[in-house]
Amino acid sequence: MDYDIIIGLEIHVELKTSSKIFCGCSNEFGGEPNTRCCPICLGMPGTLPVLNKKVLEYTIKAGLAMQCKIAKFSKFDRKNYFYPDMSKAYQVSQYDLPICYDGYVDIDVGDKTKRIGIERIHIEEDAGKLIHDSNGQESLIDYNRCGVPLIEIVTRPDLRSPEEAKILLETIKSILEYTEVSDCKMQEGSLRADVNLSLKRKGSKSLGVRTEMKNINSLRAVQRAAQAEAERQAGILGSGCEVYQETRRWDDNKGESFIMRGKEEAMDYRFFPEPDLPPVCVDEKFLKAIQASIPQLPRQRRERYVNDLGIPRYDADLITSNKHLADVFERASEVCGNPKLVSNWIMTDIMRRINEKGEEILNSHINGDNLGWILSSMERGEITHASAIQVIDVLIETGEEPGNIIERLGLKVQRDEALVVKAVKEVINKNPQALSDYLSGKEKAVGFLMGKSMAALKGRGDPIQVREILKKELQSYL
Amino acid sequence: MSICKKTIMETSELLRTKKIGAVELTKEYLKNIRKNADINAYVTVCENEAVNAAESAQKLLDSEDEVSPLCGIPMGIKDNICTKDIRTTCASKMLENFTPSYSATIYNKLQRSGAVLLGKLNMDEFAMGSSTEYTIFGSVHNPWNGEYVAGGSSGGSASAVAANLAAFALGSDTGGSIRQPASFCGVVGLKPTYGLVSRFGLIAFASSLDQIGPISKDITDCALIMNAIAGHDPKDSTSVKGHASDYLEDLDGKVDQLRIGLPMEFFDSALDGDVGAVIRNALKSLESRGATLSECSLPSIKNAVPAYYLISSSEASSNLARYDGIRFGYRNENAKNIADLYRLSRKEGFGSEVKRRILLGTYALSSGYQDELYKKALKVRSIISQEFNSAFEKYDVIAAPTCPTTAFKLGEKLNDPLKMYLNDIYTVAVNLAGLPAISVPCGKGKNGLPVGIQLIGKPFSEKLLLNVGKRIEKEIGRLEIEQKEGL
Amino acid sequence: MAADIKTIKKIADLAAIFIEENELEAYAAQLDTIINYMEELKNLDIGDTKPMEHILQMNNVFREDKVTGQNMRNELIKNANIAKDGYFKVPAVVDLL
Repeated sequence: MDYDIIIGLEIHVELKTSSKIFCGCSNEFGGEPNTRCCPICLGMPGTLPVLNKKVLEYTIKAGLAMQCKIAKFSKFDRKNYFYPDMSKAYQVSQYDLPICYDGYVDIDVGDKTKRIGIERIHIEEDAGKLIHDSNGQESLIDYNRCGVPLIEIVTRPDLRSPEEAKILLETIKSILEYTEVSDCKMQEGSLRADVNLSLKRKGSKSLGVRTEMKNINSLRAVQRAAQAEAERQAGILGSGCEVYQETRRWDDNKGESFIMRGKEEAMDYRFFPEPDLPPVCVDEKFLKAIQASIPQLPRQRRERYVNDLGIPRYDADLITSNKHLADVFERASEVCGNPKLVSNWIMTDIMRRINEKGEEILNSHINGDNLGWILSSMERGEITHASAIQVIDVLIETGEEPGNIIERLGLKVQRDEALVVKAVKEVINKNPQALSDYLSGKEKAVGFLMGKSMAALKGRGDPIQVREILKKELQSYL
Repeated sequence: MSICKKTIMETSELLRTKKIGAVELTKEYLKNIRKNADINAYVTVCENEAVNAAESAQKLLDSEDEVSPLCGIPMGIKDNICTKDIRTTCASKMLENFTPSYSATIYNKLQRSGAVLLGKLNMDEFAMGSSTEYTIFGSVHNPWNGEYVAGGSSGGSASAVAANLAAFALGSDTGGSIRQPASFCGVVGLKPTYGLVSRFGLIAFASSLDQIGPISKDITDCALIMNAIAGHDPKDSTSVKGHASDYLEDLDGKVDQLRIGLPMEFFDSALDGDVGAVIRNALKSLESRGATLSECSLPSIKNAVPAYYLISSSEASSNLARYDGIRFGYRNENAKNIADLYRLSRKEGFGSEVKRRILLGTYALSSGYQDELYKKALKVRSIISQEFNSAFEKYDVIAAPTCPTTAFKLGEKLNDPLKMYLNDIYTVAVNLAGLPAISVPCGKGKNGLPVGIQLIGKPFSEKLLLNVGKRIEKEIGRLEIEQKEGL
Repeated sequence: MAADIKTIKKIADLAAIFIEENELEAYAAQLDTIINYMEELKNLDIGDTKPMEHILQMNNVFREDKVTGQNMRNELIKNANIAKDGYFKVPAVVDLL
């Protein structure tokens, strides 16, 4: 292409508070329609908002994690527009004085680090959901999501490719997960991105006309939508036409976008200061307390895993991409004292099960404590590798305590010498051919008898001990 | 003398000494309301609920040693204040059938003290108006003379108290809506400091200006009601902590050493000569009791009316956007698409004055005009507030007429919105600055209609204002309407 | 003229209020008078005055993050003229935004 692609993102994130932003309704996802609503979030006459303190804390936390400055004085504004999912016909938002501004996020593009500016992060409230009735004549409204706290993160137009856009969104998602301000479930809409994109002729100083793309609901879709839009604009410019400033809607199934409204139809939101909410003043003490609650972020963790724990970079990357996984890794390493062993297990057996069963297994049954315990049992030779895998599978299935599983299934390694000697003797007696092979100098026979002995012990023998006893018994025939 | 003519204090004494029962009292008021239906003060009379509430109040009176002086006292509430399970209409077709599932905080407080709700009072639609003529329930008539307006927007509240159709009433004041009708009807009306009384459950007109306040027969009653309704409410973020006090305490009417400022802008050519004379007479009586009177100036008052209408209409355009026909309120059933559902429901649900103000507010906030209109008005608001602050360095109280004239005739200003707006010339500045102000009856004009004097104070100086009001009341006496034949 | 018919139409659209063709002129005339009066403010030289955005010298009013609400759908939809299966119902919405 003869153009540079200029991309900025606007990212909407639902905060993981217990209650909504201005009322005591539950901020849980879903629920029967309109059962998580009250007169306040429904904007009924005479009701008034009171700000949830956690919303301010979480926003500042997200801002600090993205190196933002935090405004000492901030206020709320009303954004006025009619849409049936917006119960008051205005959205409480922040216009000229956002809580967080002027930050950045570092992203890894290939083996280079790139710094993307964060222009601002502000607080606002989410709208309800419209369901289009099958008959096409009517729409139904569920206001359960109305009043769910949101932050909007606006990046600077520092992204230069659709891939960078996807990487940035991924990076921000993991920062938000690490700081635990959002669960970032894109499939549930708790993380949504708009892509602002324009093309600039290579070498030219003047910027091109920008479009805004809405309705992007997955990481993959960000990249696809940006790619498609870049190509669409290049096509227009290539044929000598003009790109129009417009808002478009991405259809991920069709893989193309459609115009929603042009510049002439731009909304006049009539922002003005929200008279029902006093301003917010943040002091140093409040800031420090929030700063102290921010955990080590993924990039810093990754470097620590590579440099201090000797974990391969690829593994460290994958483990830190998910906070739950990284937390499991760290705790399990502490418990069993062997980070490399833990990382190997995570990269193979644990990842395979996550892929099969979903990420939930990390939150429910597998945690750092029990994984560490299982692996250290294996290291001490109390269970075999095969048994360890079996314990993990049962654990995922039932949530039973690993010690119980080992006990119940009799997975403990069998070390009773008399029992092992008895089993080995029986195996030798039942396999005279193998014995004579051994006696005639065929070493392969040892392996065969070893397998049979282990099988006779139902796989629970300690291979080193079994091999020793087998050798001793065979030598007695010499 | 009819029991309904008595003040809360007097009535409360009769209730406590068992000279009258709460139910009997309530029934007397209900009878009076029926007899005076031509005033049109009430839009909803809740007879059954009132009698039930009176019965509960009587039980309290019988069983408790210490009850609130409001226990068993019949009251009326302006119909923009939400009352659970009792329809709350704002005198608008938009909310004609709206019954809230929640109550305003002040209604809860009054209910807890045992006050008895007789019904909901007429008003200008969504509190936008100065005459209680913009109402779907028909105009309110001034009890002093039925050909005249009761003032507005709390015209139902003021006329009900003046005509003894409630022992007291609650109104709301965004630009004078308590003080002006109180002045026109010859009763006491207090607009508290912004933030002193909870707005939760008050259907918003202009959130940064609205305040609920009492309308009463005399100053003591006003103090008593304030004791019941003032105070912090966690459900209203603009409600202040630690400023409510005992308003009955030290209410002795002493005004010696009191410095009173008389802003010349309030005694200008707009002021009716007759009204001016009544006001000056009241001021003289304060002077004779030791107060000092000095002329002062609040030069930016002349910009208060445009600033007020721009700010209040801007906020209203946003506050009233929620009436879209979806969740509550009037809905046009024939709309084929969502845009028509909005446009037609709002066209048919709102009256012409409300629509005018929504359009004005939308215009003042829209891009291209916001800086020159809305933002400029906010700057004027700053300046007016500063001018009051400097005045209060020299004076304890600012005194002025509440209105430039006595009540005007029904229909007189109905078709000239601007003329109607200019009637608020002396009241709106107080709301812009968030100050407390009281209108106290201080005599009658030659036409026999009441005149009110307005006392304005520093934030949270309600006690002082009540005290000065008490002195005026002592000097001039209450204004009472001759009872109709046969009552 | 501050408020001509074209302006009134635009403003009425923003405010979502339908105005009949034959009423437009009357609204325009009334609003024009009012706006002209309001525009007196334009001439004030108060450029460096800080606009009063909040009247109270008060900030940081919060509530704790506690769930106090419960399902009250039946009460909430009582005032809606049309509700269906617990939803509020409107004519079909095709992307207004």
